[in-house]
Amino acid sequence: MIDAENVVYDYPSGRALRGVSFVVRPGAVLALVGPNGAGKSTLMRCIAALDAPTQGAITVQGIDTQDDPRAIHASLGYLPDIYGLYDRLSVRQCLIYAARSRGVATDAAPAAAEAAAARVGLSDRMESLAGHLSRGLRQRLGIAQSLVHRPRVLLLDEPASGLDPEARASLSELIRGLAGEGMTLIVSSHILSELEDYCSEMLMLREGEVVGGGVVRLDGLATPGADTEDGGAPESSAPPVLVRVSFAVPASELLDPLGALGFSVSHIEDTDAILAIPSGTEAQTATLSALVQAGLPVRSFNLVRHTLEETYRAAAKGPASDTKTFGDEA
Amino acid sequence: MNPELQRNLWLDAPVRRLVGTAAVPVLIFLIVWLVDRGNHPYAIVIVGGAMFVGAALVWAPREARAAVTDEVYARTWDFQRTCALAPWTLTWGKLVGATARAWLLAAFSLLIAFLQLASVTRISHALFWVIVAVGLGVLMQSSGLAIGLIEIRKGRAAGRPPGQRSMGLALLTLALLAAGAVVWAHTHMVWSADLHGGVLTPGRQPLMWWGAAYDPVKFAGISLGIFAVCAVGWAWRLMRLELQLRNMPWAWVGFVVIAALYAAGFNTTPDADVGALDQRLALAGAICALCAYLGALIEPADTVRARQFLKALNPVEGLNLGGLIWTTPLIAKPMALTVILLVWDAMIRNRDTGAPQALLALATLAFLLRDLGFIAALRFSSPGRGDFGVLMRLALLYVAGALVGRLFGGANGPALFIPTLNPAGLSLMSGAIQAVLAWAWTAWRIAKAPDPQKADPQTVLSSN
Repeated sequence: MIDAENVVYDYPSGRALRGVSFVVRPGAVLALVGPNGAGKSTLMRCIAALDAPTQGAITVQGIDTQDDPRAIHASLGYLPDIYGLYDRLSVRQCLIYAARSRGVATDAAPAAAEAAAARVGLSDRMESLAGHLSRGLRQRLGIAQSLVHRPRVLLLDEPASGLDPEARASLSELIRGLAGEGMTLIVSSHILSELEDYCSEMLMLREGEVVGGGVVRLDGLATPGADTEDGGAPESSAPPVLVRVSFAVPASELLDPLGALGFSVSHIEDTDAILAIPSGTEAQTATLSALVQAGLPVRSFNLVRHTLEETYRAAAKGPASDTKTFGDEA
Repeated sequence: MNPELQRNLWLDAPVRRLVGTAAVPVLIFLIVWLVDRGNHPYAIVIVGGAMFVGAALVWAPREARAAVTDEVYARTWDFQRTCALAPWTLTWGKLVGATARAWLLAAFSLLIAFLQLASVTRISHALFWVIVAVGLGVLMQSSGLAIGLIEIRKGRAAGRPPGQRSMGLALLTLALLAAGAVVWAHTHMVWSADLHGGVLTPGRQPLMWWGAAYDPVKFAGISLGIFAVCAVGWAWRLMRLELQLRNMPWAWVGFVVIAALYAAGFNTTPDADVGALDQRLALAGAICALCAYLGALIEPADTVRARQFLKALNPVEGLNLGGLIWTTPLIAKPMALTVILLVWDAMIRNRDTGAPQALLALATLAFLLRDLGFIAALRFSSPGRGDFGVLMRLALLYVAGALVGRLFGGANGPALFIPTLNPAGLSLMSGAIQAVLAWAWTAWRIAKAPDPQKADPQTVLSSN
């Protein structure tokens, strides 16, 4: 969906991106993380065809950002980290303008505006002036403007910056919903906890370079439910995930029946066993069902989650490879 | 409706504001009529003309510039840049929408002035001046938008937003006023046009251009129309650049060549065959030089692009023609044309009038190259420096140089700092040395800029 190849970007004051390469799968929600000044916003701007890389190439849906920047502009939505709204226009006017300027037909624009407003919870504010909205509502309007034309790719640069916890929760819910519809998202932030709820992949930048070996899959961290282009079932080749199963008896007594059921036990702690199972909801259901049907005294069954912070640290220290998976690390 | 036009009308031209704008000229014309009572046949024409100048030549260009610079201040420009509208749609949507109220006022003023002028002269005469006025308005307004886009590009290279005040717009207005004064003086004094009788008519002789005779007033009007179209094209091409589209460089070369041919067509001594080619070459060279100055001032001082150009030009790594097409600075082509024209001019002067005249032409060329190098060095040393500051330093160089030369060098001293006949050889030598120094300074400034591969990324990104 998005393919960056050896991207270099120079400002007059120096080099901001130093040979950045990565691939983002269709339907992925990529967390673009790194400290302030890592080059996240510059990379976002290059992907959005707002700035041309000094060297290298970026393609979005197979279109080179330098060969056909207008096609890129039309095909994606982009919300910069610092953005403005037309304060003297109503929410409805802002959204109709956004729709029409992004290629939605004149007669379809009002409906598209209504749909985008509904998606971000602004339906009851359509006649309010943008300048009268609170910060959280302005953020929603900014996102609504960027997705009113239903792009396949959405770039959000520090979308949660300055939002209160309630607004952040709404934003997470919105992004999960968009991911569930098959949209490919890149969300940047230097606050990792913001991204935990909805990201399926992570790319780390530091001083303009990719660290951690490339795109890191976060299968054990979040499951937006859109691992394939059409939003269907997860890929069969997806790596295993870990589940923590608590039993009514010490787990060490159940190693034989678990082995007989074909489960790979990676770790035990008192009454808990950590099992490696295939990723996806169906596999989890099947595992739990098999355990219960075998008569094992199951008390609880949970996916093992890591914080993004832990994953980030692990990946930053880890060896280089094209794509790493951290769902199988306890 | 064009979405950009509609948005501008929503923002700037709601019905209440349009009514308020329309009420202003009604009130002013009412006051004029009450005071004048129709005694002076030109009172309404003069007031209408003045209001048109204020609305179409001052207010509308400012609004056209603000149509893009205000987007930068409001941080909505990137949102606009990522829209799906064609560059031309965005251009005319802004040109028409952002200036709707100014043009309402201008159109009303022009209509009243037209009716009054037609009633005291002829309809065709009044209509001609309406066309000239609209052409002037379009020229200024399109230039206003183009200047705003240039300021955004220069600001981006300098890492700061465009300034609130536009020196470019002020300089353009001054240039237009100067051009208007030249045309008026030419028609009024040489051709004895009859302004006081209400009809501007050619006097003794028509305007000669490439050997053909033209009505000077109509010629000026048609020229204005062509330049207005060029200004619209200029704004459109700059809009394309902002939308990340590449412009083929031939249009700029084509404009410079056509402008040079246009200027070369004028014959200041229509009765003398001797030196006609010399004059045409000098005029064409002057226009090419003017375009080079313009290019030196309007192009962003971007060290990244300058390095890409130098890399593409580097014979050691192999000449990269593809890279040269996109990275060649604006000044390069008019500067090359100027060199060709002035060297040619010098050869003809050497043949016809002797070596001093030829040396003067070459000295003028050397000082032109010095100026361009000086401007480039100043702009690369401080990309945020305003055009006015650069021009003032250049003017100071000439004035102070001439004074210092006069004080310490006697009669020949000024030749060290300005191109002059006394002695032309010294002037040429001094100009050439200064040109080399100025361009060496520019090269040093570009080389001194932080090396992208060595700069601290934290510093880079925090400064952008």
